[in-house]
Amino acid sequence: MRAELTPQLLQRVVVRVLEEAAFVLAEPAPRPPPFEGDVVTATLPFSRPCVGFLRLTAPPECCTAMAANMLGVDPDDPEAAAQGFDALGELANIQCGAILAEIFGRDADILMKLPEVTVGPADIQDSVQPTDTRIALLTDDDWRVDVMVRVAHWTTSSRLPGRMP
Amino acid sequence: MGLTVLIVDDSAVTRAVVRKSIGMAGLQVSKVYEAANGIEALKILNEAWIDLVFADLQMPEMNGVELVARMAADSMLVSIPVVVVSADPSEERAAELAKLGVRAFIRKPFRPESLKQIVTDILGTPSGGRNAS
Repeated sequence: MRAELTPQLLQRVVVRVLEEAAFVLAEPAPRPPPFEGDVVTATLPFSRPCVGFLRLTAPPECCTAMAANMLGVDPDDPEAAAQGFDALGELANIQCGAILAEIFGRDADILMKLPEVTVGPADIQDSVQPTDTRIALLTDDDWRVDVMVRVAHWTTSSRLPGRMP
Repeated sequence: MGLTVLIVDDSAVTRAVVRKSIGMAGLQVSKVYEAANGIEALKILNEAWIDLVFADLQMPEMNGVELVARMAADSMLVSIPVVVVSADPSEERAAELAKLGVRAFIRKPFRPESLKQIVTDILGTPSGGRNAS
């Protein structure tokens, strides 16, 4: 293990991926505004070198905007709205790969699974444990984007020497 | 005559991004086929002339590793260059795939220029066909 999973690491990687993959500028939101209405959540499990998942949450309108950017179409284009959930799942996939590479290095045996994308009220989606690492961001369009990583099980080989997770 | 390309990814957004990147890279492409998983890809590969395959790894039904293995075991498909486009950061997996014949590994997110460079390295010219490999 090369680095510890911290909110700072999560923030740095997620901001970079949002900018490079979805052309979205985002910055930390220490006191983020509450989500209004339903939110879209992409959950991406991983099982090596540790067991856990990454969860990416954003409003549906933000997902549409990100899909439009990725597709190179206008946000009002029906294709952007149709592909919003898919875009969020793909961004979760890219973020998860980038975060695991930062923590464990590219020479680690990393295994990610397929993202699951759901929509529902924010309070139902928002089950957080004290050991979770999470951040909230605000995009340049003032959309709130949350990212959380939960490690359910650290294998011996994945643990940072001298530290307990 | 341009390239005939197959893009294999379960994400329609990613297929569109790869398609757009191919266009932005200035590659001469005559036709782009798309498949959402390895099974769909094999069906297209057995029905159409394909010069180059861009394939994701994590896909339902049949993933990219199995697709590459099936192509490697098929004398009609083994010579088609495969470029893996994936968020999987593992160098170990890239090495395993190289042993199966994968020609290059592009990590998401990527820039059109890197895609063009890889295609040029594989095919010789931005518009080169299978004979040029």
